[in-house]
Amino acid sequence: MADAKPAPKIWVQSNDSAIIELDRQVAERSVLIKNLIEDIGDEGITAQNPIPIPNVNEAVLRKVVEWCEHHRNDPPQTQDDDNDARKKTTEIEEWDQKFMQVDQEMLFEIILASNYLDIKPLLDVGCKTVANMIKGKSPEEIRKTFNITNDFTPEEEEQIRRENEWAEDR
Amino acid sequence: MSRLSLIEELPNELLLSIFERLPTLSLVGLTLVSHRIHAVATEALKLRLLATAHLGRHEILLECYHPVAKVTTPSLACHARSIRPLGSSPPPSPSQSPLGSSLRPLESADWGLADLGSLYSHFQLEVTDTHGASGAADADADADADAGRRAPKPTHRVFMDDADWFSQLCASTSIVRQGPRPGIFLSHQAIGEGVVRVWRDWAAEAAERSASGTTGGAAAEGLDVLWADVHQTVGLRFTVQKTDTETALEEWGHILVSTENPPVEYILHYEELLVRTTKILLAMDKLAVQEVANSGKAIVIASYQV
Repeated sequence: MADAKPAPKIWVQSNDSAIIELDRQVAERSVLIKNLIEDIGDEGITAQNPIPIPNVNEAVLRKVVEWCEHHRNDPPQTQDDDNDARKKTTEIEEWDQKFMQVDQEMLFEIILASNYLDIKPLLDVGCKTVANMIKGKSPEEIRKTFNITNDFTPEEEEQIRRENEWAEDR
Repeated sequence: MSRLSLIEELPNELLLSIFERLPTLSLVGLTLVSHRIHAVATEALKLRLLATAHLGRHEILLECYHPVAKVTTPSLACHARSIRPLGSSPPPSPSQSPLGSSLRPLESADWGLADLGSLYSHFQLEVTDTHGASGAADADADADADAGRRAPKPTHRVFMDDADWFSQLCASTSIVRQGPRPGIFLSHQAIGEGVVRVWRDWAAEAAERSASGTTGGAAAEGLDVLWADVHQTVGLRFTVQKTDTETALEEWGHILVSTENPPVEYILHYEELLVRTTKILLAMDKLAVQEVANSGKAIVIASYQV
């Protein structure tokens, strides 16, 4: 039903004390916030008394809110049916791809924030983005991409190679 | 100064949910990256391996036929029993939840990547004619596993004429996703194709083992398996029964010439299909790619009665 009243608002506060105002509908993309509003009622949340998001800084929180704004009208995701095939695909819709063109620090912060805020579709996009960065790369290329130090001894490496022989096509 | 790697700072469960989306071969590559990544990639592989036990909506089909009887031999549906290394003893109480108990050895902590290659998925075979009913049978399997096992095992008659040293069976195993009706596959991936040779000597020994009741034990298991390929990807375990060939032949008016290798006929009872679990894993990966590519656009050439 269309509502003539202005959309109800919610305020959230990042861990660096920035207060962000957003529509309740947008905020409810986060299951954590949705449950919180249901528990305490939205009268309790004001600009003076925002919801603290202790794990997320302002830049990341704004980025997450941007995603939620764009996806405010998405249908709630169906639970787990056909999860199997979909989980393995790493296709990402165009807007989300552009949205995820950020540096690695931001990318992993978004993943952590969406996990904390319980925004599954955003977490999904984040994980897919990282998966795509891994796909088709050699171990050395992966180390380079993610700045990972190789902490294997040559003997250990040899051992793992032997253990992986089953995966070679023959 | 070396900066810390951000990906390695993610908690395990998030790393896992990233790795879950990768094809199996990428996971294998990841095991070489670093200790931390290795641990999580191994975990992801392990989970995926356990998931093959349930196959989801997929089914393993076996076609095993004498080369001249390809068309008339029904394909066999396979029902998962357990995943374990060859020759290890079968799960102690298969009458419980059929998969839950059988997977226990895999859940132990000392299970490593090295053991992957030695794992075999064991399947019970069933003629697909009863396909329509098999879904219902599955549902009852937990409650009524004993009744399920009493269902007659598919058999195969093998005849060797005098001077024949062996008989052959073509065996092709594939993993499919059934469509809306039996016989329509949404996707299909071959696992292994090969020829099973039933040697005269082997059949005679196996028949003796069956007769003396020494089959089924862990020690004898390896002996009763016939492999369809040199890499031992797909194998069939039979119990063998000798038929009364001489009377049968006399009935047919066949004159027996006394030779060293008289004509014989054996009935092979399909006990189990063994498939290297890693092969199923890799095949399911290819299926997933197919299914994504096909989703929404299926080409079905069929005649429907409306």
